Order: sequence, then structure tokens, then C-alpha cells
Amino acid sequence: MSIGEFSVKMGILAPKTTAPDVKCLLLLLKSISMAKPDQICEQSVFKELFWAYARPLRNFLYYKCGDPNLAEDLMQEAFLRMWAACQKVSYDKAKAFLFRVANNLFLDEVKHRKVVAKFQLNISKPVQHFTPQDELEENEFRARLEDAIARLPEKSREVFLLNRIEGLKYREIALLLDISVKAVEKRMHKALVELRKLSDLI
Amino acid sequence: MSKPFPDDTFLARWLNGELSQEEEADLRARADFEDIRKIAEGSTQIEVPSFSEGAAWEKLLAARQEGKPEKGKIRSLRILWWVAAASVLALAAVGYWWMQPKAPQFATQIGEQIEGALPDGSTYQLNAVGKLDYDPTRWAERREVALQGEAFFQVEKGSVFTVVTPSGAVSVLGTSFNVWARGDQLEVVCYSGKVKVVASRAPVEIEAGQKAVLLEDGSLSTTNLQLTPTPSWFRGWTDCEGLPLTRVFEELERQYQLDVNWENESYRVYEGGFPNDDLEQALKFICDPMELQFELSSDKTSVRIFAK
Repeated sequence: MSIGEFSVKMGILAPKTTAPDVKCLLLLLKSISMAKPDQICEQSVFKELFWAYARPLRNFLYYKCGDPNLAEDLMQEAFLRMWAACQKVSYDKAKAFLFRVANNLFLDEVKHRKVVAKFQLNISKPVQHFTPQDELEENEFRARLEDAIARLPEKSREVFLLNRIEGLKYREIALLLDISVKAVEKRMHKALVELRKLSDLI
Repeated sequence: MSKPFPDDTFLARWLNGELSQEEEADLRARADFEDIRKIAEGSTQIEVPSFSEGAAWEKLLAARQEGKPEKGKIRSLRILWWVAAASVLALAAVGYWWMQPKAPQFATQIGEQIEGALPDGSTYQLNAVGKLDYDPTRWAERREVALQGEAFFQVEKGSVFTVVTPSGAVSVLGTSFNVWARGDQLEVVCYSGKVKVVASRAPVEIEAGQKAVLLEDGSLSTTNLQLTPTPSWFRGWTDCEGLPLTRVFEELERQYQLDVNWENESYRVYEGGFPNDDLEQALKFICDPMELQFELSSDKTSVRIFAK
């Protein structure tokens, strides 16, 4: 069955349209790629996955290691591995695959270097300040917070930042890291308690 | 130092708004509540270093090409011999490919505009300080143009036509549209037909008279415009309606060999434009309504802008 017949049967495209709507075409493409898992080997499909997950994956790695360059390298490596294994990864499983591989790559990297990557942060300045005194206090607070987050254990930090910056729900984080929601909540609670202690010590 | 929390998920549930009223009241009564609140709030201000999917994609493709020849074990001299023969062949192939007409790449200098036709009769106009290239040998299977800078396209009807920029892709079937892609910024104006813009977040479709702008968070915002049939920069006029002054001066530096030194830069929006063929007029057009003064150096290569 050709794509044309298929789409007519599915009622997606009216027969003999001269300029099919872009949206319909995309829908059609998507339905085909869902039906055939190995389609992610196709460059256009792979590119779509890349545009969808490259940024979240890279940010996820950044929250782990605090180094934007390392985060981008590991993200790229994860996509390369997925491409190499594209016959075995279905469209729906791509996200889970990417995050699992990226996580392993990160662990290898840490083991390999024998030291935990240095975490650097930059918290943006709030726009409004009323007095120089306010500004000074604000700056000081920011610096202390940056420092405290950098000292958090990696497991608490990734959960904390995924929730605070990416705005992910606990359920979504649990899914991503393949842990229970309860575990996410514990790490989240622990992160706040630790940050409170650390920002006190500094 | 401070008293323990009731359980080990307490603060997580507080952030999620899941505490009961009594629990919430207990929390607020704690001496360290204000600190915890500040930490929870302050941490949402963290900036993630910028990232461009477009550039990362190009890198990925390059890395994939590089990694392709698998590291195989060479077992005998005989195989080595074959490898040698194959590499000679490969070299010859590469040489042949090298001799083939290369993908044309068009680039414009400051103040320069070029126009041209693509293999299918679609046309483009490239504004100053821009780069455009495409692969004519694969044009029949894939209509794709890579762009950095600003260009206007009139696309013949046919298969999907895509403009790839570092921060997003614009695809259409047959229409005319303007793409402005500089740094990691992207703006698309549709002049006729329909255009689909794909960046990091949800794709957006715009129709004639609409403009899509890539925002810092990766989403696309759409606005309606009053449009002339073609962009004003065709007619020697740079339109800066509603642009911040810093960008107006950047555009000026693209049209004139000029170094703009603007003292006391502040965020202000300019509602107007400037001519591309008369520097002094252009400066007057910008500075007069904004109550700024300018001092042009004698060789007209640098200008100082300051408040009146």
C-alpha cells in the first residue's frame, strides 16, 4: 500500500489534493514512525527527536556536573549511541534510552576522572533594587546560594534543579531517573535542608 | 540548632502545596522558614548557559561522519592489502568529489545585498552580512537552504522547502517569507501562504501578515503586522519598528562600514527605520526622535552617540 492510499484510507488526506496541509503530512509521518520503530534511523525522524530532547538532556547533565561543555559533549555522545543502536530503539522509548545512556556516561566520566566535576553556577540578577544596601545583600545571598548548590550531593542537586529550574513535577522526575516519587520527595526535602545548613556555614 | 522536621519529605510536600493547614502554620512559625523560602525562590533564578539546537545538530552530524569507519581488527596482511586498495579508491572518490562543482555558498559584506535563483526557480534576496548555501545536487530530493543573517524567499510550489538556521528551521510548501537569523536569535515574517517555524519548543505555523519571534525560553511568539508586499530592505530602507536601540545600531553597522559607540546604553525602543544609502540621514532618522546627538568622525567610519 502506498503512502497515498494509506493516507486516503486513514482519512487523513482527501484524495487528489494538490497542496496537502503541512500539518497533515507531519501527522502522517508521525503515525508511520510510530508504527515502525526502526524509523528513528531515518535522519528526519532522528532530527525531530534531537530537537525535542537535546536541550532537556543537556540541561539535565548540566545539573549533574555544572560544566556546560561536558554536558554538551555527553549529550552528543548519548545521541551518537542512540543512532548507532537505532534499529533497536523505538520512537516511544527514545527519551528513556537517551537519559539512561547519558546517566551512565556521566557516571563513567566521574569514575574516569576520579574527581567530581567542579560545579559552577550563575544565578541571574533580579531586576529591581531599591537601595545599594538591598543590592549588596541580594548579591551576597546569591553568591552563598550558588556556593551551597555546588556543594550539594549530585543526587539531591539534580532533583532539586530539575524541579526548580526546569519546573518538572516530582512524578516526571521520578520517571526520568527511574526512581519512586517518594525517593524524589526525600531528595527534594534533603536538598532544601542541606542548602539551609550550607548557606548558614558559608 | 533548629528543630527537626516532622518527616523526610516535608519540605518537598510544602513546595508542592500539599501540606495541611496546621502543618503549613507549623512551618511558618519556624525560625528558619524565611531562609528556606528565600532558598526555594532564589534557586528558580538560576541561568542555564545558552545552547543552540541548530549548532549542536551540525556538530552531531559531523561527529557521526567522523566516527563512521568502525574500528575493525586487521587480521592479516592480505586484508591490509585490500585496505590499501580500498583507501586508494576512496581517495580517488574524494578527489573526484572535490573536483565536482562545490555547493555554492553566498555571502554578503556590510551594506551589500544579493539576489539569486535556486534550481527550482524559487528566488532569494540576501541582506547585508549574511551567508546562504545549499546543495544543488540533492535539490531534487530535498529543498533545503542554510542561512545565517537575513533573507527573503519566494518559493515555487512543490515539495517542502526548508530554511535551516542555527536556532530553528522554517519550512513551507510555496510562499514568500523573510527570515532574520543572527546569533541565536530568529524572526520569521510570512508574506504569503503559510510558514511553519520549528525551534526548540512547540512548532508554530504563521500565515501572511504574521511574524514569529523566538523568545529566550525557546518558545515562539506570534504577532500580526501591517505588511507591504515585500520587506522594506529591498527598497533601500531598514525597518526597525519596535526594535530596541542596541539592535537598531547593530543593523546600522551591517548597512554601513561604521563603528557605533553609544555612551550610556539604555534599553529604549525605536519606532521607525533608516535609509541604507545615506549615513548622515540615517543617523538623523534614528537620533532626532530619540533625543540623541551624534558626532561622526571625519572619515565616517565611527560615530559617537550621546544624550542631548
